[in-house]
Amino acid sequence: MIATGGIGMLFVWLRWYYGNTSLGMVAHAVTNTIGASILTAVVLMS
Amino acid sequence: MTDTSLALTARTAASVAPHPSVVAASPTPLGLWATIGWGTGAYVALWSPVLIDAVPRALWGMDIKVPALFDLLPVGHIAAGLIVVVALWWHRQPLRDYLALSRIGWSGIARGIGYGVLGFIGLTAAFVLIAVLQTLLGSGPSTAPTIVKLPFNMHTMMVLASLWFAMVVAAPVVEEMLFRGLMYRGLAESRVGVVGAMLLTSVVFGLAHYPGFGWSA
Repeated sequence: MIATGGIGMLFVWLRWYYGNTSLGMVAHAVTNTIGASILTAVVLMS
Repeated sequence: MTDTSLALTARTAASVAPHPSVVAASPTPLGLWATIGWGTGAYVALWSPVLIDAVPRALWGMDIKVPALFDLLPVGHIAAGLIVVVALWWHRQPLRDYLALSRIGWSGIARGIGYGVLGFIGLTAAFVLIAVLQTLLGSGPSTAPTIVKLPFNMHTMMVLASLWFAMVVAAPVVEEMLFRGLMYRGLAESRVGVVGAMLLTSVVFGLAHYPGFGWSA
């Protein structure tokens, strides 16, 4: 929860600094894509 | 007015122009209590697939047969996204302006990719650091993910496809609309202020992913 709250802090900083939510959406999607790739690889290779 | 004075006026106006986040925040905010109310509704909706199963079991010992659709579609995210849309429709707010869903162009996308990679590195580092600290303190890591072994068949492919849709499309779109759109906007422009809104939305975002909702599940 602390780690995820930390990344939430990054996304909300992006919202404040750049003044839009779209940039955070892209960043969030990229972070989750890397996570989903690793998860998929682990599940299929375990 | 001469060209020089026009240029000076433009420069003066630019020098006193507010931060882009303030400019983007032109529609009237929902207000503190409406933001908390709609935000709580959307937050509960995020958890709806878990609650539909867990609440009847905890209260009445009943096992509800959850439709297979709940396993394959990110029903919680869809419901939460709908609540955000309904909230803004109810308060007659322009969706894109209120949620600051502006075009970012290719440079913005590239920047977003960079921050996304940075975010993943930071997240991984935080997980490792927390696990090391817990081990040093003698409690053992509690954040270690559970690896689910799945056979390589059509069902596994469908599960993985729905996981990808949930993680890569539904979660970024809906969670940004909810936490950094509706909630941040409403809280930042209330007595909570920008710093309070940043802290509160981050804590709620962290709680939404605990224990294993999305990320480590």
